[in-house]
Amino acid sequence: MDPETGIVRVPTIWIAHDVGQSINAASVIGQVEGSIYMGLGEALMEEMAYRGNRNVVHKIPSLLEYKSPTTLEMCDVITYLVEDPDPNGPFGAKEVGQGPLLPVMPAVANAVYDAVGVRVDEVPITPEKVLKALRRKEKGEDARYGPDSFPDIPWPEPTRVAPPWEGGDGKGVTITAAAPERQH
Amino acid sequence: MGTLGGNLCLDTRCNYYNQSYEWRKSIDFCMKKDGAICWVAPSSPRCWAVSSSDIAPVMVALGAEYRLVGPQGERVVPAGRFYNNDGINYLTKQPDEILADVRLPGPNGWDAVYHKLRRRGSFDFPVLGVAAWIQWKGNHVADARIVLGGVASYPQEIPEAGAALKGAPLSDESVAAAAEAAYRPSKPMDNTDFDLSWRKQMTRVYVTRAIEELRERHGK
Ligand SMILES: Cc1cc2nc3c(=O)[nH]c(=O)nc-3n(C[C@H](O)[C@H](O)[C@H](O)COP(=O)(O)OP(=O)(O)OC[C@H]3O[C@@H](n4cnc5c(N)ncnc54)[C@H](O)[C@@H]3O)c2cc1C
Ligand code: SF4
Repeated sequence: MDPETGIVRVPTIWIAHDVGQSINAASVIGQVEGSIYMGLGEALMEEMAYRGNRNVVHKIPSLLEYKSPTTLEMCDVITYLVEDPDPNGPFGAKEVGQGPLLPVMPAVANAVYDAVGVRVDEVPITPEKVLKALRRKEKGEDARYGPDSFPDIPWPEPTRVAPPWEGGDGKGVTITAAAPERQH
Repeated sequence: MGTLGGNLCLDTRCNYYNQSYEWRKSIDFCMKKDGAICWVAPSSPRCWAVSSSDIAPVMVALGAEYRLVGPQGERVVPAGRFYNNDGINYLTKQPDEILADVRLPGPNGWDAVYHKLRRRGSFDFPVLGVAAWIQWKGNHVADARIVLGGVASYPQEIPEAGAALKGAPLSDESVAAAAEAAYRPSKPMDNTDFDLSWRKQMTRVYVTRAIEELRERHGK
């Protein structure tokens, strides 16, 4: 983390992913590390940018300007496969698709917070956002960057599927009565 | 393979221009090719596409000379006069002139560095380049040039930044004054990667770091 520019570099990511049962270890590790790669791009660079006042045209619809890490920006990855077989999965397997991608964005955001004490609550975590949050922190303001409110969404009633040990048979039950209050 | 001549003659770039034909057509063409308007600055009569060569600002800072050869004969122009601050007519050379040689000044106490800002170190064009050149006389800065790339349609020399360093040993104050002098006229437009106000802010940081590197190297 360079505090004068806001540029964030991620040298290494450690990931542990519970795959249930690894059937082909080389492919499974490849999936995990490929997800890290995609997550890193999402965390730091990839952005859907539209023209300011004419929101119909995507500004960067090609891989030249739609920035994604190349092999040279890719971090080192240290992968641990956790194998806790799922009796309902094929040969005990769970999944190794999008799962390992999802923790990358919050992990990078937390690492930025750990390094310089500012929260960037929006991806991609670009240098100008980090620098704006740092400036706010210096001024004693809220040390963060990101949207100030959550859009008003008409949430559907939640559906609950009881796990087998509660006698669940795989069918969902819509919870209407005590629908929990969503945090905004 | 790329050549030095090709890089020094590199076309200016703009993310409204370096797009597919269909994309450019969908919003209507801009004046750099086939259209009449500039989408970056719609009320502007000129094109603001960005000088994106890494080597051009360095050549200007070094005081290099280019030998041009054409049907009318040959001539030698200083690198600084080879470029034009216009996204369409970005070179002062005639279309039938070839850049045949680049002449660098002999080593007589000068040193230079280039610092480049871009998102990915692997292959991105500069969104800001800083070429810094210092002619040392002992510990004194006899002469200095600071040239910015990626913020105008030509490699932009900032004479005030060089002047801030000249005639004294480098001090924190003179470095800061040079960085401030370079920051003010640095006017990136919204036609490259990254946020333009951040790119402008980075001018100060990158100019400081470039001069600091020269100072450190001279101190050794
Ligand atoms: C993905 C990508 C990333 C790049 N990133 C960078 C970067 O970060 N920094 C950077 O500086 N460049 C970058 N480049 C540009 C690259 O450096 C230039 O394209 C290359 O140097 C051009 O050299 P060339 O010999 O292929 O020239 P050409 O592409 O053949 O020529 C470029 C232009 O100069 C003219 N020309 C060529 N030679 C001469 C000559 N001797 N006299 C007169 N006119 C001449 C040509 O007619 C043409 O108009 C990048 C290019 C790509 C595709
Ligand atoms: S600066 Fe304007 S005229 Fe030039 S290429 Fe970009 S949009 Fe076109």
